[in-house]
Amino acid sequence: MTEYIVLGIYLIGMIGIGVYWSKKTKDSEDYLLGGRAMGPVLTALTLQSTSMSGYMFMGGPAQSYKEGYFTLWYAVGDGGGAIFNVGILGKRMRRLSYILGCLSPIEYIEARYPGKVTRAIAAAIAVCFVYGYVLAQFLSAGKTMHALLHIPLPAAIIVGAGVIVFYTFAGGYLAVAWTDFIQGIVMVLAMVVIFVLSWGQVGGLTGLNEALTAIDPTYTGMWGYQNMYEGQWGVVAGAVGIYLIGYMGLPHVVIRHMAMEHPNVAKNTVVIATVYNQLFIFVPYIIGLMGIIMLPNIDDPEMVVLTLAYELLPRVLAAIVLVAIMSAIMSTADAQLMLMGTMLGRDIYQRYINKDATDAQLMNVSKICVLVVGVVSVLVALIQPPGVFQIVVFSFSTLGSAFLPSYVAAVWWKRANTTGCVASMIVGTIVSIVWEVAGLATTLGIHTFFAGVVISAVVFIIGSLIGKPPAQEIQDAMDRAACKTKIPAGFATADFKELAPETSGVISFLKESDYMEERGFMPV
Amino acid sequence: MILGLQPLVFFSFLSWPVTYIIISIIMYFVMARNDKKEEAWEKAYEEWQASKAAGGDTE
Repeated sequence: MTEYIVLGIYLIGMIGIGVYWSKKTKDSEDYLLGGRAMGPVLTALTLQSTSMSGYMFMGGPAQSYKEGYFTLWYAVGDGGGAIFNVGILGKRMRRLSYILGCLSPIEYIEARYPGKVTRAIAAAIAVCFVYGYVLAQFLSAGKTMHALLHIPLPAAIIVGAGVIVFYTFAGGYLAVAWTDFIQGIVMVLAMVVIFVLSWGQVGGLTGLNEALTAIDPTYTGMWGYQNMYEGQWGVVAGAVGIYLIGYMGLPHVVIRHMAMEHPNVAKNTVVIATVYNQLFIFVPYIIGLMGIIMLPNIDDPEMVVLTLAYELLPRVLAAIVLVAIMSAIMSTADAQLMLMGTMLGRDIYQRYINKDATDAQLMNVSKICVLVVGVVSVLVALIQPPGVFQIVVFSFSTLGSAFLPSYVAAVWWKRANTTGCVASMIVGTIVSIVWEVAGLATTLGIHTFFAGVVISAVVFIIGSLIGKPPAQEIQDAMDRAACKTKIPAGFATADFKELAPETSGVISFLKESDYMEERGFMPV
Repeated sequence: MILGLQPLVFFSFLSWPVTYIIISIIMYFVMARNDKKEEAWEKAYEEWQASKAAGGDTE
């Protein structure tokens, strides 16, 4: 009963956030990008909670329970993901998307790499694989509630997914960002509390590691339980790389850069998101290792975190852990659902169906798309089509392979052009699918993501070198996004005018020396 | 042994949280320094654009 009450309060709270923000949302920029008004804390938490799904509470600990320390290679990459993602893309993508007037990450691709087919291909890939993701998250939400609360599966799917659809439909990006914020806090608190209590039980890290070594030394070795991955550096590179750089290729993640209120939000976001990651990413895997000692006979290793919660915490707090698991699933699902609405409204409807759509029409169409995709997903999830989870397994790799080179090069390489972008999206997608279907990851010992991104990046570079350089206005926009446009020195000195009059001598000196030119200001 | 692990295993897996936090703090200061330069550039750029729009000095 306690669980029902706690979960009920949580779900009602999420609905309340949706209703609140529905009244504050006035135009399409508010609905699709939160009015580009996200501060550093909100950006960091929505970025990270969107990136982390229910896997961190169930799949991750289960994997380390079975494979030992080797699984922490994923954490090693994931822990630094925010540094790469925000540090490399954040600031410049925010600036360039604003300069180009883009509201969706797919529209941004087309604006940076103009071409008749760019947006169609990008939208097709993103819609297919993000939709697979949404579907799987809805199923996960339902199955989690069914397994933990013994609610019939259809009812669990309708309730769990229904709440996500409602608040995303009603409040748009702002509702998604604020629910992500709360969900992110619940997730990390739950994980840290279980970790701290388990820490005492196993005698800290030293006690844990000594106990694991006593059971089987390979648990604490480099290559996994029974050295199952011995010498497979391709798997290690993929495990580290998939999360270290992979987020830069996920449209539902990089859209968060576009929603920052100012480019200088990025510096605070890097620190907040990185500290958050260290608390939330390494801990679940270590809890899985603690489970080997504390729960040696557990039937389902995916239940390690929840079983420990019920063993170590009062029932009401254990119920909050259950809410945290739902939070992890919902914070990913809402971002993907929101992106589906954005892509269908902005990238399909306004781009191909009604080019003269008004702002109000765009917002309404996007809302309807969120609702339709949500309802259809719930209905499909009720059927439980086979193969959904198999799609999701390589959705991350496919989206990363298709989009990562294009997003990174968009702001860092002036020569990057449409030929490279289109070729890389197509080849990246095909390689990722073929690699997975043919089982090459196992045969060759090279992770799908690693193969997909490397081949896609090579194709991108070759295509860009063969194709025509981007138009001058795009190169100018890139210069402006990088704050490198040459400005006449008379304007460059404007910021010095506020200084005391006696500095005029210094300014004259600077004008005559190389100081200004070295900093990108044109000499008069 | 470090915390019950071989040194290679310890540094491969458990040294990263501290390393990443240090890197993020260094990045904060580097980005803050760049922000100041970019703010000065943005101000100058806006003044230049305003002047161009008013038909003043363009180059």
